[in-house]
Amino acid sequence: MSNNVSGLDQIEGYFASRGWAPFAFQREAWHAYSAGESGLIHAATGTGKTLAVWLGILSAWLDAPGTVTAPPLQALWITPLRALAADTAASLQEPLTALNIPWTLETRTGDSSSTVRGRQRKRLPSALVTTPESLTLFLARADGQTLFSDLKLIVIDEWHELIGSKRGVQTELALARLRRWCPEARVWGVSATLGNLDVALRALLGIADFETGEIRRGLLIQGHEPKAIRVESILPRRIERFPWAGHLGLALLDEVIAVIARGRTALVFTNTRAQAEIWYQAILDRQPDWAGEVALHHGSLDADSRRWVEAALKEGRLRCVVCTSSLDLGVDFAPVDSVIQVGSPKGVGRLLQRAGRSGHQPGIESKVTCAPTHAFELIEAAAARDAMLSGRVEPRIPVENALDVLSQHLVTIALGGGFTPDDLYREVRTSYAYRSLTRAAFEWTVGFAADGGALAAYPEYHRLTRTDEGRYIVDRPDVARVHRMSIGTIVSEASLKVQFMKGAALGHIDESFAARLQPGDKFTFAGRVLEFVRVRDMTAWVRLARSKRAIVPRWFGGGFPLSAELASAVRAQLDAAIAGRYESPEMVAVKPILDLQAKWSRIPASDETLIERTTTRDGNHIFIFPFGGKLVNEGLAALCATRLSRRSPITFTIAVNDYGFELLSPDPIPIHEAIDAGLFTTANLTEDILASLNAGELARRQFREIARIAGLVIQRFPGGQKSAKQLQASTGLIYDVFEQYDPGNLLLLQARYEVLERQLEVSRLVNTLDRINAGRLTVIDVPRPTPLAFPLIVERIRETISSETLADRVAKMQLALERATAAL
Amino acid sequence: MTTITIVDETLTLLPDAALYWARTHTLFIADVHLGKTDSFRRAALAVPSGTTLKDLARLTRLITTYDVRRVIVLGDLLHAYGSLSQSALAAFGTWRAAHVDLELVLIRGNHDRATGDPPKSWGFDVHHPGIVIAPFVLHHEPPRSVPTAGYALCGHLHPGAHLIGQGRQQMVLPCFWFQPKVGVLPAFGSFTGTGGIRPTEGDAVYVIADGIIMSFA
Repeated sequence: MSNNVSGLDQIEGYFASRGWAPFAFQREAWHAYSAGESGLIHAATGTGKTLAVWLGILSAWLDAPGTVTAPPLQALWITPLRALAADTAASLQEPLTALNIPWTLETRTGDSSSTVRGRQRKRLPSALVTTPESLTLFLARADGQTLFSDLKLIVIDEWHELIGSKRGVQTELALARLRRWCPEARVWGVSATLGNLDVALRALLGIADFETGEIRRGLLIQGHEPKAIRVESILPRRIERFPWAGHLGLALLDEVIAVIARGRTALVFTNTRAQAEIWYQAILDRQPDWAGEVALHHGSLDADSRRWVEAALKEGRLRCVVCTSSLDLGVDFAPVDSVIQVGSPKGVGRLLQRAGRSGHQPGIESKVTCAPTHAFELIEAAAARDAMLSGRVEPRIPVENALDVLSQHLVTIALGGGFTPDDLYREVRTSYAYRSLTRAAFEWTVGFAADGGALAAYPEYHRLTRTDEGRYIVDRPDVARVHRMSIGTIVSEASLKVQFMKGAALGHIDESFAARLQPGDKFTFAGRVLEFVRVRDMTAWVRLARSKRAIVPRWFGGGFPLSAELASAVRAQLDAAIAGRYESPEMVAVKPILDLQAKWSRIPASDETLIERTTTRDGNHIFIFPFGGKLVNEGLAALCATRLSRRSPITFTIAVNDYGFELLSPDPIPIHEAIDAGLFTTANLTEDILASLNAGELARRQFREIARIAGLVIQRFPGGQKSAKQLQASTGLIYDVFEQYDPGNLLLLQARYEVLERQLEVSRLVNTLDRINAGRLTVIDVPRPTPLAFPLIVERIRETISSETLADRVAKMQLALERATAAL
Repeated sequence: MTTITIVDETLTLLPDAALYWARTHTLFIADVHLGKTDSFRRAALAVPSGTTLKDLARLTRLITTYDVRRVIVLGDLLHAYGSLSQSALAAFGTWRAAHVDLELVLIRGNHDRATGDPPKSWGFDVHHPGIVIAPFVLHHEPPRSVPTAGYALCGHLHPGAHLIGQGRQQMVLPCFWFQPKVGVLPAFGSFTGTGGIRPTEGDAVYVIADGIIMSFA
């Protein structure tokens, strides 16, 4: 472009040539870029956020085109999902071509070929689309700094997806490093609407001066107003026959099929992979003539098959895709005109995001149809709509001072040319996540990552080597290799590849599921019924089965807890019901169930905590409904069980859901006495919570993630090396060894801290206790489990808290014999 | 004290995951995995040391409490010899020197096969795949077919029994598992996990619960 037209004018021309007019926020973003600003743009999906960020740097280039050939790396575009990289690159390429800008644009992800890697080792493109993990891998290269020396723009796409997780921390650490290497580079984040955008902006931009704690300033740009979104529910015809619990129910299958049939292309969102497999199979069984037009998409399927589905979706060749959060993000699937949410969305933000996957044509409203799988999901759908209309979107709280991620980062930087503690401490402190990190904690982490620190407990261990000049480097090739393979904070279960005896790989199943399979067992996976043949080389070999009867794999994780926003919206719905106001179709539909609840017990008001007590052949049950959301209820359950168990030797098994929890014991539970003695008091809360942590499995479970991120265990990869087999130990075992031989280890403390702060959300727990104490407590003896209690009764995942000796408990137990074990 | 009678011999089950045959002053243990945390540390995985010394101390206590003259290890004495640390080598050396008269027998296990026999100076009488000390047939892995004569004792499985109780309680505890012709010992090493077993009607299972042996016979 050798004319004298300014960059911004050319951009306007580009818009005009397409028949578009820029939104005000897009212009605002372009001007902000040229003024050297950084910031965060938030808006709903499909409203032009990408161009708002991208055209700023292009306009600046057009104003002063340095070269006629491709310049070295100018822009980094970080996307949370590697499946999105190619689509993002395509949408970034379009204006480059149209405006005749001679930039090269490439992607780099875990899927990149060795040719691409080789080329990028020599020279990076002018713009690179990559993931947080691949970006970190660049930091592990000795020539990292030179690679990025011309960098002008760093974009973090879908920042809301990263910020609440340790991947967000990993990204913040990489940004801290890039800001030092290229102080002139602007950082722009792109995010969906969040309840705490100010924090999201601060976490993105980091700290200007860690000694004063002065934050870096940036702009918060509000994108185009979200389109109108309509939330509807499919109502069961006969509520009396509608289940009270479970999430796999297919009760509304026919109605869902009818909704699919009415539109052109539907996305059917489920909350778990198992649920997606079941719905896919059920839809095809009912509509065999749809074969070839219905597809399945979830995170455990082979990447090739997922790519095929995404392409077919874009081209409008599919009638329906059954998917999980694997399709929450991403470029527009223009043909999609209908979104169905199976089960409760559990969060307002998630519902907004999923609804936004449809109706991308201007002026068309987005619509989402909720298909509840049990009665209470009707209430949640009504609650979600109300919360959405009043704009109560959840915040995402950034993770702070995570020593496991820091430990991994230290090895990364040691690989990438090494570090001195002084220097790296300053750098790390400029990230929001570590702005309050103490020097002592930093030094401990360096020592622990290097050689176990000053402790005698780690003879012959070393990962980092300290040079004579005081730099920490990695000089062991085996450490370098393992570290490069395990960079990242996504902790998944050990999994096995699923592959046909002769032929294609289908995806992955959890090792724990595979371990229960006997040769000849049938299971449903990737939408097919498979017969298990054997396990060899970290692969579950299968063949196509003839029968239709099969079990469905369970994957660890998945499922979401009800957000605090939605939990309080549910309580508001119940208050309205108590007042006799049934205003939405969902609440009208669920009324008979609530009437039954009121008849057998009562509907808890929002200033009331309901406690139900009953006895079944399983034992004595106490149900307590604080409506705290699953995580808070889990903490409260452990707390109550611990306090109750101090009174006399007793054993509880605990079931938890979003509304409440159940304490089940073979012995009678003295609930009235316990309440009088301060069951819900906030006095001695910290001590009692810590005691309940030790009594239960929570901290031990949390340590799993920490151990993997900090590199205490080697993650096994499907098709990975066998030699690592002798280095396998369960993280539970490692936790026990740490507790016994290095009890002051900060990673152990981190595990407890994370349970307290993130999992139990102590502040929310205190609020909940305050609410319980300020309100009424109602204890009711019920003849049988009520509609509210029933979902807890059938919950199979249970934690145990006991004040009996192990021997006393064992004396009352029975050995699970072969038949019973097989039925598990 | 829990004793059982198998093919007319009396065996004592010890909560330290060992089996004592008093008539012959023989102690059976399995799956010791000495130096396991050392091999982790060698591979740059920071796992604290301490389990090896603790396990040797447990063994010493058993030998002095009972009049043990022979220790038979039913496989997997070492976790990975190549990575056995100097300190672990020294620890076992010192331990051996304090018990010079003790007869040591090792049935080679899969870990021993992969990593090589223990140093000659430790004085183990090493056998593979098994030996007969009538009426017992000793193996590392449970035999594929039921032994025609005698009773097989072995390890390898690190057996853990799945218990269920009232109020939907469940737990898995390390155990001895005696089938009609084969008995499996729990793992002796403290840095080892358990593997699920599938006992059937007629099997005798003894779990170790906080230092107490409890019978599910």
